[in-house]
Amino acid sequence: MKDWRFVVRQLVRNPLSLMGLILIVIFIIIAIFAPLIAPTPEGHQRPYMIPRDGYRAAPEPPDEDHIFGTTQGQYDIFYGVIWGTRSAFQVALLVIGITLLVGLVLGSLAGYFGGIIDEVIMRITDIFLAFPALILAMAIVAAIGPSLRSVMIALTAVWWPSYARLIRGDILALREEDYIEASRGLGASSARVILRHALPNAIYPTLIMASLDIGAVVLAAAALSFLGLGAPEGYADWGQLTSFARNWIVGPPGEPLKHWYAVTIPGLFILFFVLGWNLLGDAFRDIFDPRLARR
Amino acid sequence: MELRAYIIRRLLLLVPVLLGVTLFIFGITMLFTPTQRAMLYVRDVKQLADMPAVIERYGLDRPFVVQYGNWLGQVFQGNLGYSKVVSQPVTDAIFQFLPATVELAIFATPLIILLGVVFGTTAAAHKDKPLDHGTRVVAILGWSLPTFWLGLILLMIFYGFLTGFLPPGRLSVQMDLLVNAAPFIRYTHINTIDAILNLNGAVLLEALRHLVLPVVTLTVVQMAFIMRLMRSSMLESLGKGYVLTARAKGLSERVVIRKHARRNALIPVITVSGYVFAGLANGVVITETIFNFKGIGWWAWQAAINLDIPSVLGFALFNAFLFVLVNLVVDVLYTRVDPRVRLGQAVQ
Amino acid sequence: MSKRFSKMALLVLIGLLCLALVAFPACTTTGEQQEEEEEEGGPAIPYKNDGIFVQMTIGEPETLDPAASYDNASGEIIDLVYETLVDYDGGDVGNFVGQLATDFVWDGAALTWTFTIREGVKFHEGGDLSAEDVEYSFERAMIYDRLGGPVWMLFEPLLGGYEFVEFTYPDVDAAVEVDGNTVVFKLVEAGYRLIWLQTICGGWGSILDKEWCIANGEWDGTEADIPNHYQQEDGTTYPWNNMNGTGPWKLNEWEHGVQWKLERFDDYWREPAPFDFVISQLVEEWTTRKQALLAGDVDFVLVDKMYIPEVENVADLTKLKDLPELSTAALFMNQAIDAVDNDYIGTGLLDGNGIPPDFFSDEDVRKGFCYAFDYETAITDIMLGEAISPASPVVSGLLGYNPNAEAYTYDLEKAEEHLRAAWGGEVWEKGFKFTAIYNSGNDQRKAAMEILAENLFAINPKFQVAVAGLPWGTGVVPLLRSYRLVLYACGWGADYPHAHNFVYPFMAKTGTFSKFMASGYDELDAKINAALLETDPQEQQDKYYEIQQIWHDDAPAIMLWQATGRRWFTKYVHGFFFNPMIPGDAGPLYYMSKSAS
Repeated sequence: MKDWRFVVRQLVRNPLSLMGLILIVIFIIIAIFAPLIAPTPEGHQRPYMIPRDGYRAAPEPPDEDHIFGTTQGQYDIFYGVIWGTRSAFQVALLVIGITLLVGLVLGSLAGYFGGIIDEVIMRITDIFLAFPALILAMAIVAAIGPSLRSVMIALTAVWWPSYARLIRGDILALREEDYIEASRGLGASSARVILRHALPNAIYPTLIMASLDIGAVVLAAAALSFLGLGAPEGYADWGQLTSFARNWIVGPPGEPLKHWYAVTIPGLFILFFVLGWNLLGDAFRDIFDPRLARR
Repeated sequence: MELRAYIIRRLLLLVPVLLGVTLFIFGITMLFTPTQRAMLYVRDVKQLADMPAVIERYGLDRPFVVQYGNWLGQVFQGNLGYSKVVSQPVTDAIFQFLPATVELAIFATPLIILLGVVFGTTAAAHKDKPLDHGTRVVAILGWSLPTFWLGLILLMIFYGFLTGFLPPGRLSVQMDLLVNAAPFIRYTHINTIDAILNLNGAVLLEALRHLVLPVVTLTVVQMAFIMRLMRSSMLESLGKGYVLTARAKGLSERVVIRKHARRNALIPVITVSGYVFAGLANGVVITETIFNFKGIGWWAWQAAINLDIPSVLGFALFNAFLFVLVNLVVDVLYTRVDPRVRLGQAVQ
Repeated sequence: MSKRFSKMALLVLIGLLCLALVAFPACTTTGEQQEEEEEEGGPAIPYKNDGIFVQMTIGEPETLDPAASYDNASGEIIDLVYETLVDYDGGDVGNFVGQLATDFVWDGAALTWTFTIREGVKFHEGGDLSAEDVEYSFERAMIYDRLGGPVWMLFEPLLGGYEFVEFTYPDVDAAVEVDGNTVVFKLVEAGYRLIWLQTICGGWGSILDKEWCIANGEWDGTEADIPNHYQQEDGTTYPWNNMNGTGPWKLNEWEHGVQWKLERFDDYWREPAPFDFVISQLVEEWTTRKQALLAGDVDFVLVDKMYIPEVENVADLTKLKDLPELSTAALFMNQAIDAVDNDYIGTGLLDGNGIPPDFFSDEDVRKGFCYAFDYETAITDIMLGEAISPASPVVSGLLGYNPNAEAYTYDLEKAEEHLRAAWGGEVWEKGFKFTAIYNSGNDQRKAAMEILAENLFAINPKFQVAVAGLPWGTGVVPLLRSYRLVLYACGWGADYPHAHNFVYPFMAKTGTFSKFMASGYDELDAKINAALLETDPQEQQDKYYEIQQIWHDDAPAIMLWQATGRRWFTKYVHGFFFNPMIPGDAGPLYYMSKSAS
């Protein structure tokens, strides 16, 4: 594997990737220290459920008790976005992690070996892809029972086929490349060829897609939460917070942006989270490209 | 392998895929108890007493094989069942809702792909310069914007502030009455196409006016994705051997990009473009709801959350069919774009 | 060097952009909030679509067949296209005027209502109204007896049962007879006299054209043909998708899931309709509805309670409030919980970590809960003041309502008193733990349960109630029917404006709610029946007053609220009056109008 010192040095040198790294690190810190930053009130039993300050529907603007204001139903936004960082990491990393693994394995097998293996795997991905994603996700969540865990399972099931196909496509193109031929000519086993030569070169568009998808996963989880098939209502989840603001995005006539905080603040958290991962993803691409000369 | 044989073979494989998809969905719905499935028919608290009769009537407690068999039998007779959520047969529902989504797709897909490719190429060609950074920021913003936020803000600005300039819905009330009465003939139920076929400029203009906001909303969110993919893919290609060779030969940068790098960079984009068109059915749900542009995405969503199993199955069949077709086109395009790729050849 | 510079520039740019995103709205908002104190203003709503009434709602009709329709959205369009023998007199639910009948006479000895049918009324497709059409419409509804449909309401007063299978066709035939140009209905008890009139005002009392129905494949009127039409599949009857009534409008088009359109019927027997077209669009997105209203593209929209502040200050809107709707919601306590496979009762024992299945069968537990609910906060905070607290299921506006009925109040001391006494002191000592369920998406019911949970916790920290949400269809209902729910919320809307329609489902042994709470008993059933059948009005009222007192003494459920309604029109719409039994929120469109002045 690459020299880690080299990797870190490259990351730090480039201001954009540095910014990405800093953003991610900030989020990690927030996630780890959430109970200190936004302490759970006394007697409140489940820390992932946002405490409510009353029952009125309309969001309230920021004040000293609620520095980011409250959203629909008087849920504290500050508490929600801080603890939501934890939920975001859980969902995004788990889903993308498993998806990548499954997609890579199946995709490379299909692309490299071709023939029957390719056909079978592609038909399986066809079946999954032919599902309307939203319907499949909903059916799974509704069958297992709504919770963050079922959201993760549902999203994984829906997501992996795209990766498999992407990897397969890239490997298809690479299969005839010289260094692959050379490697086989030298007697390398298929596994070796795939792992050491084909995959590292085919992986870039997939990694880029993964870095973009981290944001998409968070948003997809939001869509499910919004329909009542995801995290329970009042759960600390950025997507849920943004969805809560859906009907308050446009305020009364004359004050159309009255409840801006209800959607902008959770939205910004999502935005910076996605930004960070994107910058990081691009930086990794630059670093891991074997054609770039080491300096 | 010969192209025609390949296509025929892929089309034949449609059957197991369709069976697989429907079996899978049926299987999932079997995870629900008969009472849960009966809820589709017993919507109100006042009808609770009829629950056992409903279960009996629709055979909801029969074994999986029997239920699936019945459904399959009906399908072969051309009957896809009754869509409870919109109170009409499933086939009617598909025909009613499809035109709206197709209309959105017709306008959005080329825009998405075009803008994505153009911006992506530009960004790659000017890597690390302000133009690159600018497009990347715009892309990330577009990607992480929740669709409903963008849609509602656009509605607020272009319908609210600019009093009625770009309204929701497919047509205004007056136009809607007009197109549904003689002498206007609805050939396709796609308003823009029908307007052209009827040589009616006013309707065409009105239809386009109502299309602007939903299409823009869809484009902004999806385009970012293609752009990013295109950019990284281009950067790949630009670093490849044959590009260096082309440059060494003295070809202009423009030609290098257009004739060599872009072709290969397009491969992952082609893969994804297939999804863009067919996948719009899922992505349009929120757009269709916000802009009151009800299409097949909206219908499928209603079916899903209400456990309207006949509708879900009908939609899945339709969706599966579309996907297999689109994937076939994509795979064939691979061979056109990348001469190194041969169809279905096994490794020696 | 330039590379680093441009990267820095980018970073600065992003930073500024974010600051702007946050700061700009904050600045503009604080500026605008100062205007809040000023008078009503808001945008001027332009006048559009002259002669066309456009509304946006969130309900889509299920069917156009009056014999099948049991939901409000279907009822709304049926109400505009079809007509009934009698109608309510304006906003009054106790007095009636003839619509398709010119005269209606009650015979106390024979227990019959005789309706004289109006002459010269035409159907949309050209037929003429006759007494045979009336007889056919009712008999058809009864032999069709759609599964989950409204026809039980016809069976109960006419034949004393609820379903067609309990009777034979000759029974049905005898209940509705034609005599010259009159139709005679024979009721089974005198007590149903008023209820019958209320019942036939509903959509299920609509009159169809017999010839048109038969010509289009519907029941031909003979006993032999009944098996072909009994409980026909949904969507297969001709009137399901086609309409032919006598009303001021006829069907133009039903675009499923999108909108329905009506056009004026020029041969209507009264004054022609005030609108050339009536259009109802299905728009679930609140913001879209709001924008359309403010842009003048619609005349009426549904405004959910929580969005009222957003349209409250717009001068160009006509706002109606405090309309007494006939509906209510309550928190039900299950007295006979099924403990098998039950995730909501904890250990299933009274040991502080659960509750036993018969927990709520002790009156003191129920009364303690009733006193622990903060009715005031529920009305002001959850319902934003747009509701009243009912003492019992018999809500204000129903015949038989007791305005001075004894009600529970929010009294923590009394609550503690009862909870200390519950189960011989065990409840207080050991405490309890269970999960209350609301249907997800219904934030008001969720909030109500949370109030109760918090108050119980405040009385004694050993009282632990968790609140969770499940989807109505796949979650709540199956659990409800299998007696697995502990504490849950449900609502009820009037079928006809009589106390019996509320008393039965909440209190009778086989009532929709009381059945699943196991809270009914024979003695009470006898009283409910006696009250229903009482013919002397004063006696009847006394009996219903007694039943309301029994509700208080038994305390089987906690009454949450009776919502009051609001209506939002543009200022150009005139003539609305309120009647809780009109299915469409937009009101009695035939009596309304729209003009720019």
